[in-house]
Amino acid sequence: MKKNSVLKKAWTGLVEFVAMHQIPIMAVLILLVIAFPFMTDNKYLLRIATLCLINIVLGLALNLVQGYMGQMSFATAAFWGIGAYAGTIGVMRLGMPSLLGMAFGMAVAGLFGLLIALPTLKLKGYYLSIVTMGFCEIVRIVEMNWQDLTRGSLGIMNIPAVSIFGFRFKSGRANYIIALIILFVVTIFVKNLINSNFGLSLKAIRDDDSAAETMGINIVHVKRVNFVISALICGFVGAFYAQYVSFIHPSSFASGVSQEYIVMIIFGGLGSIPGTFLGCIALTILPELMRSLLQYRLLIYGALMVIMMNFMPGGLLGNLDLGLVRKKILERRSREAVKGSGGGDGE
Amino acid sequence: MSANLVVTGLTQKFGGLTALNNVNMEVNLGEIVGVIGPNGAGKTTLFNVITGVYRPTQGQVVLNGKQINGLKRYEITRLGFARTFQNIRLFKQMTVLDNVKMGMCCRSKCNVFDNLLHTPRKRREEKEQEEKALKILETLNLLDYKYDAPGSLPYGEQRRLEIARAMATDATILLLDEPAAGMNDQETGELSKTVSGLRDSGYTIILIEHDMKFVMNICDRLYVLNHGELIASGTPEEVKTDPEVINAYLGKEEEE
Repeated sequence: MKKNSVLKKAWTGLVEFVAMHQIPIMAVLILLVIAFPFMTDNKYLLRIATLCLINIVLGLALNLVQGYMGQMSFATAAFWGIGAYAGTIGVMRLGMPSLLGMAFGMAVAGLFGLLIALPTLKLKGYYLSIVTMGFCEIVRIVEMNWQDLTRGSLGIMNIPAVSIFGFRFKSGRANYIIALIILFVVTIFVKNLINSNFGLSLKAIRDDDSAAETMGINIVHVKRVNFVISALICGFVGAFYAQYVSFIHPSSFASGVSQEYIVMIIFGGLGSIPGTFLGCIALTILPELMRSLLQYRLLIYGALMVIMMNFMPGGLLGNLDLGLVRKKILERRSREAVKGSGGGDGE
Repeated sequence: MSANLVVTGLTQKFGGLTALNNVNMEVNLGEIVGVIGPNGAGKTTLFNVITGVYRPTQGQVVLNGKQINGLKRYEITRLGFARTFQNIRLFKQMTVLDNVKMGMCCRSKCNVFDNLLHTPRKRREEKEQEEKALKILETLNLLDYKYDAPGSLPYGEQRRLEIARAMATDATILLLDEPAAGMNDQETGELSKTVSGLRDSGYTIILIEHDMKFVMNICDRLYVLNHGELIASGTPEEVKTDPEVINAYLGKEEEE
C-alpha cells in the first residue's frame, strides 16, 4: 500500500515535470529522432524505427475513432491495405507520380471510409466493430482473389520507391525522414482536431451521445467526418508504406493486424497522443526483441490485454492531457501566491 | 405580450400508455413557468417532446410561429432551446470548462479544415469561447472548479454546471428538469436567486420541480399535470387553491 503511494507520487511528479517543461523536452526529443538515422548505419534498426513511425500514424488514426469517439474499429488494416494497393496500382498501372499515388491511395481509402460510415455510424455501440471486422476480411479476400488487379497471393513486387521532384529516395535513411515528416504533420492535425470544437464534440459523444445531441451536436455527421478522416490518414500512410517496402501482400492487411493496433493504443492509452506514441513504439519494438517467442506473441498480447483491463483500463497514459496538467499547476500556483500574499498582509 | 412557445393538443402515446393527453401550454418571453405534478405525471415526457427526443403522436409545438416538432434534436437546440437532465448527464471525462465549451460547439462557425489547420479564424473563435465559458462559470459560481472533473463536484454544483452547459448553447429558452432535486434549503435558496437572475438577464425558463416552496417563490405561472393531463394552470396563488390540484396531491376529502 505504502509502496504504491510512493510510486504514485513519483509518477505524478514526473507527469508534472514533463507538463511544465513541454517545450524543451519536445525539442530534445525531436532533435534526437532527427539525429537518429545519422547516428547509425544499421539497416535493420532504421527499418524498425521507420515501422514505429508508420505504426504511430496508424495508431493516431485509430485513436481518433476508438479513443476520442469511443467506438472500436477493426478497419485500420483494411484502410491501410486499400491505401497501399490503390496507391501502388495508381503508380504502377496508371503511371502516377509517387506523391500523386499517395494522394490517390488516401482518396480511395477515404471513399471506402465514407461508404462504411454512411450506414453504420447512425448506430452506436458495437455495430461499427462488427461491420469493420467483416469489412477488413472482405478487403483481404478481394486483395487475395482479384488476380488481375492485385496479383493475389503473389503480392505486388518491385514497387518504385518514393520520388519527389524527380529524386528517388531508396535509402532507409531518406524513408525514415519522410515517415518522420508524415508523422509530424499527422500529429499536428490530430492535436488540432481534438483540441477544437470538433474534438470536444467527439469526446462528448463518447461520454454521452444522447446528451451531446441535446446540446446541439449533429452527432451522426461528426462521427462520419471523424471516421473518414481516420480512413484518409490510414490510406495515405498505406500508400507510403507500399513505396517504402516495395512489396505488398494481402496478409499484411489481415484483420489480425487491426487487432494489433487496437492492442497498441489500449496499451498506450486511449484518448491520449503521448499514449499512442508509447504504445505503438513499445509494441513495435517488443516483438522484435522477443523474436524467439514469436509463436507465443498472440498469447502474450492476450495476457497483456487482460492485465491492462484489470489494473489500468485506461492504458498506461489513458486520457493524459499535458496541457491540462500544466494549466492546473499554474492555477494552483497563482492561488497559492494570492494566499501567500494575503497571509503576509494579515501578519 | 406575444406568446413565444405554444404547445397545442399535445398527445404522446407509448404503445397503450398515454403519457401526455391533449396538453396545451403557452410560455411568454421572459417568464419563469413551472410544470408540476405527482411522479409519473408526464412532466419529463413533455420536456422530451419539446426538445425533440420524442415525436408527438398528436399536436404541435410552435416557437414564434414556426412548428418545431418533427425537427431533429440538434436542430431544435440550435433554434434556442437548451435543457438540463433530471438524472445529471455531464460529460464525465471532460473538465468542467470543457463541458461548458462543449455547449458552444453547436454555434461554431469553423469547418473541419479550420479545426485541422488551426486557422486564425479558429484561434479567434477559441479565444471568444474561452472567455464566454469563464464568464458563464463565474455567473454560476463555478469558476474554482474549471479544471476539475465534473464527477468530483458536489451535487448542487453538478446541477449548476448542467445549467451552465445549457446556457452555453446560446439558448433563449432554458428547460430545467428538477434543478433543485437533492439540494438542501440553503442550496435551494441560492438556486432561486440564480434562476431569477437568469430571467432578469433575458432568459425564458420552464422548470419541473417538486420543491413547492421553490416553485411558488420563483414561478410566474404554473402548469399542473396529472396522469398526462393538464389539470390546472395559472399563477401560484390560483393553483395552490385549485381543488383539482389538491385532489391530485392529497386525495379527495370526501372519499373516506
